[in-house]
Amino acid sequence: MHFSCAKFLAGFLIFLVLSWSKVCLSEEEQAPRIASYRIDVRLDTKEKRLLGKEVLTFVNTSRVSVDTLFLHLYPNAFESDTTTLMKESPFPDRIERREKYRGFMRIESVKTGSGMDLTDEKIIDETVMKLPLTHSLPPRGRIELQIEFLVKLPEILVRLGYSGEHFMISQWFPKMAVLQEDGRWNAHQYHFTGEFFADFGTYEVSITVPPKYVVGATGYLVDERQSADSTRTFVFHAEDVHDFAWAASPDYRISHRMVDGIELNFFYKPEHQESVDRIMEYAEFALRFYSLAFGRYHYDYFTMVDTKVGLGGGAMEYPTLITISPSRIPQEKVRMDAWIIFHEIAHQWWYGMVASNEVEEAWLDEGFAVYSGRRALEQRFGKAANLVDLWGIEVGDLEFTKLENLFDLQSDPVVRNSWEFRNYLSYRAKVYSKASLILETLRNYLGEEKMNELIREYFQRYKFRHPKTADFIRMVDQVGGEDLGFSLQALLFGTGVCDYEVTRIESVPIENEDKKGRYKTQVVLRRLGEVLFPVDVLIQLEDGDQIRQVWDGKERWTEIEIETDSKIKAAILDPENKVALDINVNNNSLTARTNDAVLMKLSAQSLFWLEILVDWMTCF
Amino acid sequence: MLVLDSFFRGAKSVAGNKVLAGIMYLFKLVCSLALLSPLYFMFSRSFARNVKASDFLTRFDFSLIIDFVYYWRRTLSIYFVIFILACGAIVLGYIFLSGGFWGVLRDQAKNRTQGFNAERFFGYCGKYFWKMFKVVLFVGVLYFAALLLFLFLAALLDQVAGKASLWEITSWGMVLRFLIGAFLFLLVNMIGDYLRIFSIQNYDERFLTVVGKTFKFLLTNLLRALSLYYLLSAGLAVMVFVFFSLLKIMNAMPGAGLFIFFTFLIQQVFVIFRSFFRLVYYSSQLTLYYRISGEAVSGHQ
Repeated sequence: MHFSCAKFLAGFLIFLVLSWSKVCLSEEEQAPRIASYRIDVRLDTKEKRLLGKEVLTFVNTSRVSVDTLFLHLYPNAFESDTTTLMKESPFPDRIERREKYRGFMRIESVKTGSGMDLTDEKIIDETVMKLPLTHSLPPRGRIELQIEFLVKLPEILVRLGYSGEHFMISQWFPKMAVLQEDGRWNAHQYHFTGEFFADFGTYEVSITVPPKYVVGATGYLVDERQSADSTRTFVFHAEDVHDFAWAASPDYRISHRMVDGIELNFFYKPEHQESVDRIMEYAEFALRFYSLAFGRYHYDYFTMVDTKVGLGGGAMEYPTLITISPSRIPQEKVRMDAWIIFHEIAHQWWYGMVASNEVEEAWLDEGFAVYSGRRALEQRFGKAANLVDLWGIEVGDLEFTKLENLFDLQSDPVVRNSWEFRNYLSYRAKVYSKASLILETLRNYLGEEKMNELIREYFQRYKFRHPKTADFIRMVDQVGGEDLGFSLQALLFGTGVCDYEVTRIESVPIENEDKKGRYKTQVVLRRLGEVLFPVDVLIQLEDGDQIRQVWDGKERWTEIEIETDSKIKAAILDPENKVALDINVNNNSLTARTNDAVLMKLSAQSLFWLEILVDWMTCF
Repeated sequence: MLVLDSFFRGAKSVAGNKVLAGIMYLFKLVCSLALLSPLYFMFSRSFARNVKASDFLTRFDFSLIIDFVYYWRRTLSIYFVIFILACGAIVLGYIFLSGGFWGVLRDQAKNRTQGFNAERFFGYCGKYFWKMFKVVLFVGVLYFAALLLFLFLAALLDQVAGKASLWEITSWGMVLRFLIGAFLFLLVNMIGDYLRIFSIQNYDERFLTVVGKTFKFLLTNLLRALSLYYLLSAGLAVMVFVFFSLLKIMNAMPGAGLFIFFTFLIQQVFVIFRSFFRLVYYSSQLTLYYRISGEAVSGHQ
């Protein structure tokens, strides 16, 4: 009896502990349900249209009451060649003017859950709809909207549309803009640079397509049924996401695999059959690697859809779904598929779960995704030549990123509204490349372990939230403190460049009798750029001795003067290449003697290839 | 047999006048050195006293090249313009010399003279310059037409292979596309060579007559002309393959001074041999032409 009672008590305690932990876990793991959707949509493949009915539930999480709602109607970006998207896009006017690239969204009706018709109240400005309410919505208040809409799909140019029988459907439903804590709406037009920003919620989406069509979508498939008219309806459910995208094609085949409890699906086109195993393997690797490095992938499902179509489409991230275009280039030589898959899957962490504002601070998702992708490439293929290993040319992702950063060095800072960048090249150079090089430099200064800790902590703290640049800087300050020796703020908000140079080295014998046989060795260093870092200086002597010093880089130049037992052989600034942002590594060192072998080899090689070129020019 | 015989006789004729290959090699070397000199200046400024540049002795360090290109971007953009202009001058220079090569080799094929005579060589250079220039322009038009034809055929292939459900078909489509491209390229090149042969037969003949005669000859002797051209091209392909295999082995060896020198020597031997082989192309086709047309051929009087 005594034994049974103890057993009962122990069992009860265990039950309590488990229940409590489950409650805590679910509270921790669940995203705030701010904007949730139930959508019934029918794809009309003949007319290239979507006919949809949406029930939107929105919760006011701000501190103030609101009397107007803002929604995004992104398909209107394709309505004419004068929309914000088209004006900003680099596509030639003759393409933008073509009728086949025209698309739009029509709001047929808007009603509140209580039946109040707001259809005539709506004010549409291109891709943003303003919806005045008859009663203001108080903080923590909830409102339901029932919206009927029609989308005329363009031939795919940017993310949304069709190509032949293939349909890529993203940014396709009336979507709530983000209401900030202070009651201001974050509702930008659809810009060419920069991507999207939305609140978390749940999605229940029924997609009806013609009989032979297969659909891959955000979330997981909960039901699939055939109607009397032989159309097929796929019902998808997704939780803790802030967007919903899908693709449909009669050609799709599906590759399926389980990865640590995650259902991984790849909807591919038959002509890309040869890429399937490789792409699945890369995706599996990335999901595992990022889960270990940053924190667990939250969902039980992950989908990839093949969008090698027309002018647009390409690779893009959506919650629990990415679009990819398998490459025909031999992937053991040029690993573009790996780069793209690692990058897009990284977005599941930096955009999907940590949902920063992609329109206003795009570096927080793109820069982080490039940095994460590089970590994955290094882990999978090694540090050197992890991107290109072709005809003796070896290129790692770090070199590739540095090259991209040089495309436009000083037009814009990293942190800037995406549409305010000088052009797409500058946007790409700063938001993708410079941002990731800043993170790389941070990694080198903090050390691998501390950086991993920082990124993991950042992920855990801001999972299912909308962190800003200031939040990240604050975290770095907490981890790195004053020890870093450089200002992250200056790197992110400034346009200065970083370039250090060894200007002069010299060893002269000391005349003094007491110091006979010793040398006065001088090394002059210069900081050519505006950005300052503390850098190591390694002085190599002819007798093999090495002297290491640190220069704080605060002045424009410095002179190191030391007494040495032998002459100087070389001086090297930043010998471990910690400063990934340095724009010229060729002036980071200086030797006392010229390296004739290097000059000879470079000249001989160049001469030979020039001779081949001359030969080629004259063979016609 | 006629094709093989023309090939060997062509090679023998060029071997008997090594100065021609020497002139061609010297031309390439001088032009390349002229193009190299600004680069050498930039290399010496960026890499001669750079510790990390030692990487070049073992591998191609892309990071150094990126920063090199960025640092010298303004100089390189000027260099690029000069480079393009220099390339134009080089093409003109070669058009000038090609008259000499074709003229001397024709004489040898017809057994008029043997050995090198500078006066005769440069005389032909001047005499045939405009004719050779016109041939280059005409061949340019042919290349453009071949490109259009290639694009048309590639589009046709895409219709079949690109939409096929088996990727093997798509891959074969790519192979087929490459073969069509190579065939068209070599065909136009060959037509260019026979245009030059007919251009130097009768100095007073109008260019359109030369074109007419060339196409007539090629249409009636297409198989033999193509066989010889593909035999020569196969020989060249073997040579290129052997050379680059050798170069790959050399590049894998440690980058000490001696190996760099040996690599340089092998590269120069390849360029010399390539010059020799170019002349074999000319001479063999001349021999074939004379054998078919029944005119005298060296050693067969």
